[in-house]
Amino acid sequence: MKVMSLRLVVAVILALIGVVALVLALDYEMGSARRMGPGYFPVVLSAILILLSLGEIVASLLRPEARSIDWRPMIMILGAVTAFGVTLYLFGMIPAFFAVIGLAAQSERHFGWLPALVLAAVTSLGAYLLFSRFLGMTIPLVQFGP
Amino acid sequence: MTTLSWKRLRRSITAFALGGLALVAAGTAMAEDYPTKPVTFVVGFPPGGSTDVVARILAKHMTDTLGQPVLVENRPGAGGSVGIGHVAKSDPDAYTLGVSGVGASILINALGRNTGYDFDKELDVIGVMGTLGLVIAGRTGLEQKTLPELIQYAKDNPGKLTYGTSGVGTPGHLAMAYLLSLAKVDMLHIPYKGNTPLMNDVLGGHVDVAVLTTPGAAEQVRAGGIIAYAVSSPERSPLMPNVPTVIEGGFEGFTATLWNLLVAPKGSPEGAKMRLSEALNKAMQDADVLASYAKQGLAPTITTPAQAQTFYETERAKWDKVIADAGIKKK
Amino acid sequence: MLENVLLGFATAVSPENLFYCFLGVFLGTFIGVLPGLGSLAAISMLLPISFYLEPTTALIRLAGIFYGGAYGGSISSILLNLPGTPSAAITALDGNPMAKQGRAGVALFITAIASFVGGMIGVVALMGFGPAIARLGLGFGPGGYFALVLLGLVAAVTVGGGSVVKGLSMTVLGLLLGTVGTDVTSGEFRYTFDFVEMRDGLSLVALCMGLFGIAEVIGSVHQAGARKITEKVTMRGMVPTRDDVRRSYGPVARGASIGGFLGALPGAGTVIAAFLAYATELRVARDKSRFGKGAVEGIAAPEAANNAAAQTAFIPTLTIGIPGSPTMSIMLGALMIHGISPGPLLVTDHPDVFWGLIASFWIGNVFLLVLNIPLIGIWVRVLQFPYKYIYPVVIALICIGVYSMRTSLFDVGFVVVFGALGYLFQRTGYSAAPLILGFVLGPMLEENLRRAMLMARGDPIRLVADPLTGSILSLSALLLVWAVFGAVRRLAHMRRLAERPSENPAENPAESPSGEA
Repeated sequence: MKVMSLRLVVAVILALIGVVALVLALDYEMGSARRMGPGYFPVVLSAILILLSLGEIVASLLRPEARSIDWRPMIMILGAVTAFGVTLYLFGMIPAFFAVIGLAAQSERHFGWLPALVLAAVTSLGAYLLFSRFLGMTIPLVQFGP
Repeated sequence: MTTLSWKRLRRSITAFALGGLALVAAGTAMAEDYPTKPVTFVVGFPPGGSTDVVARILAKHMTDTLGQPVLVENRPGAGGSVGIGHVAKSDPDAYTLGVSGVGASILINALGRNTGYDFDKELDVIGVMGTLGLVIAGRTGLEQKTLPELIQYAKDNPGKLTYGTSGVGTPGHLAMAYLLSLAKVDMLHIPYKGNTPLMNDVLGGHVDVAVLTTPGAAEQVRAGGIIAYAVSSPERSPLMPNVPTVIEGGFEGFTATLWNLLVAPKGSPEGAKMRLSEALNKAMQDADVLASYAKQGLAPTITTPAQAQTFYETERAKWDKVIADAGIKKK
Repeated sequence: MLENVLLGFATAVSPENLFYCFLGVFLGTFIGVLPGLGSLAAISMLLPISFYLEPTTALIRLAGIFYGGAYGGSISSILLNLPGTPSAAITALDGNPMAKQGRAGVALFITAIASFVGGMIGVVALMGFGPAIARLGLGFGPGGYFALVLLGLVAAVTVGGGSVVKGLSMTVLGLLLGTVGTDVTSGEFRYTFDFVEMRDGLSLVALCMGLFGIAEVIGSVHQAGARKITEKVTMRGMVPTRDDVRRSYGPVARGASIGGFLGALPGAGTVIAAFLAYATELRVARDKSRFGKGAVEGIAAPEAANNAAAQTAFIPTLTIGIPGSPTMSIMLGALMIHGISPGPLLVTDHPDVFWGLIASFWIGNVFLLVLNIPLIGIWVRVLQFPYKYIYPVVIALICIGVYSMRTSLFDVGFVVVFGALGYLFQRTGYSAAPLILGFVLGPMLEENLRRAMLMARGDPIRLVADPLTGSILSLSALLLVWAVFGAVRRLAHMRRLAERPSENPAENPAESPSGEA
């Protein structure tokens, strides 16, 4: 899938981060250059970020470039990490590994379930041996409910 | 949350049905069964820090007493309140315990900051894990060698001296601000992020006075890198027997100590808590533990859960007064 | 001196200590290779076991883990672009492109040698000038630190390569992300959105893993087919060419000197060392365009700097009791567990510990080399696996690694956010390395500037009047002027090129910073 100007999108995201940071920072005490308050750095930094990204916005409007995003791996992999967190919270470490590896594998169209299951099983075993047995970490392996 | 109310419901049903005596019996039965699996101490600071070291020393000894591994889990963040918050939300089965310092137990809340838990309502105190004094020290270039001299100099030169602490709202900061308010003198507060950069600056002579923890300061005093003016504990520190207390320096009743409480989620079985309390007290009498404590300037404490609760309440009242009297603004 | 060294070796070469040193190096490398887990993670995870050892043995083992972890971190950054620390991020800048060109073996080899040489130079500095360097470090007050951190940042902006605006944006974003959490000077919470978990700021590991690891994997999945590794794993493929070796001498020497000096400064030193070393190479190189595309100098210098700094970081830790990094404070914690109070008198009170440890540095570095040269072949084989079987495991390991650093699900959530951002940045030519440096140095910059201004009672003249602060600030200014001058000249050069009909391929903006072709 093609997005016309990804460069513009990123510049706008940066500018938005800057604006949100600036608005929030206005709540913090600004102080003066001689005696800076907690708001001084954030205000100055977000203002610079806004200016820089405005420059990029203008530049990308003048020179639009076509860049593509690989949506499938992006969604699958970010989804896999999210699934890891949720599953770890609810069901423990082993199910979390199956969730993350199962989903991440779907970044490829023809991965197949068997290899994913085998990978998950091998990783779970390795992680169990390393983290739980060897390092003595207290991550629950399998549980029901948070 | 649901587990907590379930627990309460179950407990009240039991109480109604069997009466208080049955509850005690159930508690004793629990005590015999406890612990049947590893016990976890949650430490709200990263590994290698002073709280972590205390937890590990005690965990090692309590593993022998309890017959089950006592593991230390680090959940650092927000002055220890991330870890204690985790304990508060854990199942009240006495298998997840917290090592709660002055900040997480009292100060963060007392300064008007949300900790994410209500210490009194969500946690039970099992015991005190030792106390540690603070040291008021100065850079070697200062001509004043005693606390009264230092105070007098600060009185004559308002705002000229600077004092560093390990952070805004830390026991060191509050204690020093309180001391200065008692003495009615003015020094400029320079907050640091922890003891390390503070030590660097007082050794390098960049800050005049520093409030430090005992074991680190004692070594520097011994090497002549800094001058020790006073210790904030009620008695002199065995690590620096020559350094007077702040009380001896003319401030009657002034004490400030760091400590850690062993806490469990509210509603943990009484029998298990008693078993833990006994194991903790046994550790406090062990020769190896005592030797480690002495090296770190820690004073051992032996308390029943009730005494520990009283200790906590006394401390809380004291720090509330310190914050009010020193005029520290709450957020 | 000599008898001390002998005492040290006598302590260190006991079979038990040798065994634990080797074990430490081995375990450290093993854990360090896992994505997100560097030497800090390796040390904190393996700390409890050292509880049951003799103090010297425990420390020797931890020191072994420390080197192993740092080297292991370099392995995963080079092979899979998975840096977990700022210095590993620098190594990845040129190391990963080398791996993609089928020169992973050479990159790992040079890393091992540069680390070894850097480490050795660091140990010599530690033995020879320890106390002197420590005193120098103490001379750095808030003003000096501020100036030094600023120098590091100026260097970072000039490192960015590619677009100056993009490099600057990333640095500023990093600085801004660094302000999240509790403000040290006022105790105020900034950008915490009422989350207790955010009061200590964002997790560096989550940030690195999202911006580099996740972004890299998303970007690579569909190229996996095209990414067939043609490299045959032979001894010849691993050995650097004569040209590689010739190119490495200078960078290693310069990197080790920079690192050896900066490592002695608690806090800022170890972070800045690799960056400054890289920036220096970029400055002295005749052909700057090779950097970021697999230049040997780009890994030799930062690796040497990093390891020299890692050694001299022990100077403040052991001679004055001030830990230079989180890793060092864990080592001090380990000493405290064993009832040894670290401080200026450690050397006189416990000469066996001090000199035994120093001797173990030598031995540890040798072990690292001995262990890793033969292992390079095995590591490179990882790349010969089809990528489709590697990346799901990498994602899983990133998750568990980030989670285990602070036992925090919150941080796993941040990996998702930064992963998405990182992928977008990667697609549009924003380099994440300056962001990481800004993030790490930002809090130091702000804190020290505000502290210095407090101490100077708000008088900027008094701040600059300090000779140390003043001279470092002038150095930054000089570097900045130099960079601006260079940029103007490049611009003029480009304009002249543009007047010609042919296009300049080096300025093709579609090229991503990770050098994927």
